[in-house]
Amino acid sequence: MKAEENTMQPDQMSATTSAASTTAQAVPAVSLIEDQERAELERTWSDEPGLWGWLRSVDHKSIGKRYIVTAFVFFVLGGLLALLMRLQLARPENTLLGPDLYNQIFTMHGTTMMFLFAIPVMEAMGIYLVPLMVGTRNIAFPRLAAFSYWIYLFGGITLYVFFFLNIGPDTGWFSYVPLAGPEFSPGKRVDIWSQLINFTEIAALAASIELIVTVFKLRAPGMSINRIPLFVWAMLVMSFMVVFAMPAVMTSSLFLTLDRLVGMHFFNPAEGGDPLLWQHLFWFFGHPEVYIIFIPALGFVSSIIQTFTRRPNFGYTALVLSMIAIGFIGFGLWVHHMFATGLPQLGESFFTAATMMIAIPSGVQIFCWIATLWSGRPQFKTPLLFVLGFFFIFVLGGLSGVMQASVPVNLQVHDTFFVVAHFHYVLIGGAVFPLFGAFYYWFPKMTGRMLGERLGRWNFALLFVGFNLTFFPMHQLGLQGMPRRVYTYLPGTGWGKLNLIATAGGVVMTLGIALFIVNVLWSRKRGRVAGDNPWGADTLEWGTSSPPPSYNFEHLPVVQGREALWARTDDAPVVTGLKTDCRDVLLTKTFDAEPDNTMTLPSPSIWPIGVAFSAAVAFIGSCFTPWAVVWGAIPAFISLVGWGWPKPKDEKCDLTPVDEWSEEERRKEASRAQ
Amino acid sequence: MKRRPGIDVSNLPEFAFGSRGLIWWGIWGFLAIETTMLVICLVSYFYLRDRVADWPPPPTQLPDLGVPTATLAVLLLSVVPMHLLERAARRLDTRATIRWTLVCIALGVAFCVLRGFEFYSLNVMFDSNAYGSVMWTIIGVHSFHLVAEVLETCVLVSVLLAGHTEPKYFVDSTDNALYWYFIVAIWVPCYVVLYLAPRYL
Repeated sequence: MKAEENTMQPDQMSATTSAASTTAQAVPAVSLIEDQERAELERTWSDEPGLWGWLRSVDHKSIGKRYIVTAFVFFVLGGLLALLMRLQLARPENTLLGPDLYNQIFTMHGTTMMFLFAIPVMEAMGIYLVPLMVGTRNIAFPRLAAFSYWIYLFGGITLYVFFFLNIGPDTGWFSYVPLAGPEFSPGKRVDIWSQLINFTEIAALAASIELIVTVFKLRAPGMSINRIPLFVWAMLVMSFMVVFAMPAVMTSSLFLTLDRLVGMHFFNPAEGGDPLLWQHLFWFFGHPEVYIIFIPALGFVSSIIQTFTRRPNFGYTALVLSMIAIGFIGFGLWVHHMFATGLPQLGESFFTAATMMIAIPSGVQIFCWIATLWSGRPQFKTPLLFVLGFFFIFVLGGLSGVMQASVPVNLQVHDTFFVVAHFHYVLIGGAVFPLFGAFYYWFPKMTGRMLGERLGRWNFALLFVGFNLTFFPMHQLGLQGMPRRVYTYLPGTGWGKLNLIATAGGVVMTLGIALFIVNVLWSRKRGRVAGDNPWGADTLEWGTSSPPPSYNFEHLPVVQGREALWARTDDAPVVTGLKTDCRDVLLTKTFDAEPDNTMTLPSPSIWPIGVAFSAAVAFIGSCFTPWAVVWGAIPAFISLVGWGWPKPKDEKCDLTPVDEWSEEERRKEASRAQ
Repeated sequence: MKRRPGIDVSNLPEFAFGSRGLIWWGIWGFLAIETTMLVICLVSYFYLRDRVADWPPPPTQLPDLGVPTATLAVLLLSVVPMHLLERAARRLDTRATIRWTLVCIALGVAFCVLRGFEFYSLNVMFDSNAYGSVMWTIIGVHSFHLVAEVLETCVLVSVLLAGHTEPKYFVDSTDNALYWYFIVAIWVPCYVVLYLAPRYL
């Protein structure tokens, strides 16, 4: 009710505009006030300088950038491990890696790429971009975002430290029992794996909650639910999938830890347990996981296509509904990973149908984008090249995916290189290509400088050629019967030539990635200065400077159409009256984004890192003793109290304590807040 | 430079309860996560039950009903003062909020103690068989939330007792109530599955 009073009437708006334009003398005064406002916003929102300020930062942009860089470092590490595997497999009976190290390396490669690169980098892009795209000053729970990053970082470091100590997990990224159980994997390798799951799942769940709440409550006025950018929709659907999928792996890794650490029997058939329970729980997470990685990529693709065809995406509603449909159907596919386990045929048929069904919304999206490209004026800049690469590779991966829906085909190629080819086509084609497109697309916003276009084209060409050279032969290898996860093979198998080609492709891909790193390092200092909106894009993040100031927008924007910047008129209103000396944000109504209330977001804090560190102690310690949970819980509790405990009173921003209010004031304010 | 017209938000409320605030949504997010986790635990329970002919597998005895039912009763009872707490906090009534929070904490400590004894009523150890493992894990996961929630409530009341009565802490109290209701509500199906189903189903 209050919001309606505050929404400006059209006649008032024009009055303000004409007043401002007719009084020419007022101009210097206005810009002086704006300078002061900007300086004050900067004081309020910026991090303190130095290491201390860096550690305490709760700015979604700093956290997002750190997250992206860290995830990219893990991508490179995981890629180097893959290159080692390719070199080992380049010829029969190669001796570069022994079987034990090979087991650790393929496990580390899969674990790194899934848990330390793919999910985190997608969340990271969301943490950086979503608050900008919905037009607010920071993410909904900034300290939780900082915590999410630190726990992720500690988890990744833990995994690699143990790997270098020769305690790297060696039972595959899905750690099937009984192999991963206490009987067949004594030692600490699998414990490290299951604790890593705890680190990354907490990081991902925290990030998802922040993103959901940011999208629901912090959208700029006017960004009603039918005007939310497609990328933001993608992050929303992904976040919901994380919320419902991650608990499955959290539970299963808890069961595995309990089996291994304190002698429980979840997966021990001798005492009434069942190893298949692990596969059900893991794939109930593991299949949605594929879509958790893929859906943000759909958001990248939609953003890039819209910008580089200079027209709104064809079929906005269809695209949104397809993403939501994928989000739901993605939970009904997990058993197709288990067709070889001898489940009842009726069950298998259901999952066959669901696996085929998910091709429908995926197809709808591809056709919407083709229509957009067809009717637009495509500009073939590097980001769009990566999107076109995505079409080619992902459609191929999708086709070999539909083949897997068929139980007989699935059984035939189960655990062969055909599957390796298939999921790399889906994951690299479906997620990594759009992600690189996104890097090229948003790099100017994050750094203020453009990435080199010529290097970008080479980068794309090498990755595209290298990728197909690496993975296409694997289809054939799989059909010829080469099993995955073997450290070598005999010359008589005839697999040598195709393996050599695949290894050559791996080298080409490595060169492509190296070019990207060169491009980033060079462009960061010497690239062309980007300006606010170098691509002429439509979403709100392009409406502020590059890189954005700590407070994101000088005035929160008011959104007038689905393509916010393209629809913006010259006299578009902005939000005024938000305090500039406090970390205030505007909360809007969930559906219509009408202004509803304001609140002060938390300030920088060291406690998130304290909680993350305590949790790390608990997780690493509980590889060795159950009491580590207690040792970690005590400092974690202390840090959590520190995190939430009121700071010394801040006269400007804290409201007066209720105890000092009059009875009437209390009644009035309480009723306004209901 | 032209000053653009504005939508003035300076008169909007600076705090709001329930779905108008941020924390409420965050709590719901975590409830979704925790509910999913407990549901997966319950599904695992039935999955394991389906593997064997007799449940609990002999010679394991059925769990006793006395202490678990008492815990459930205290849990359900605690909803009343929690509701009164929520209403007091929504009125911004400091004294009533503190009073009802203390009552809730007293009940919380009571059911934490009872919960400790509940483990003795299970008549099975966690490492005896898969049945024991899943029983202990479900109760363990719930107890973890239970203890965390009681501690959280203690922290919230300490903030108010320390004289920090800014409105946002009242909002926190109402959002905390949501989590408390969840802890109670989720235990009802768990109780039915763990204690009643093996007897009557």
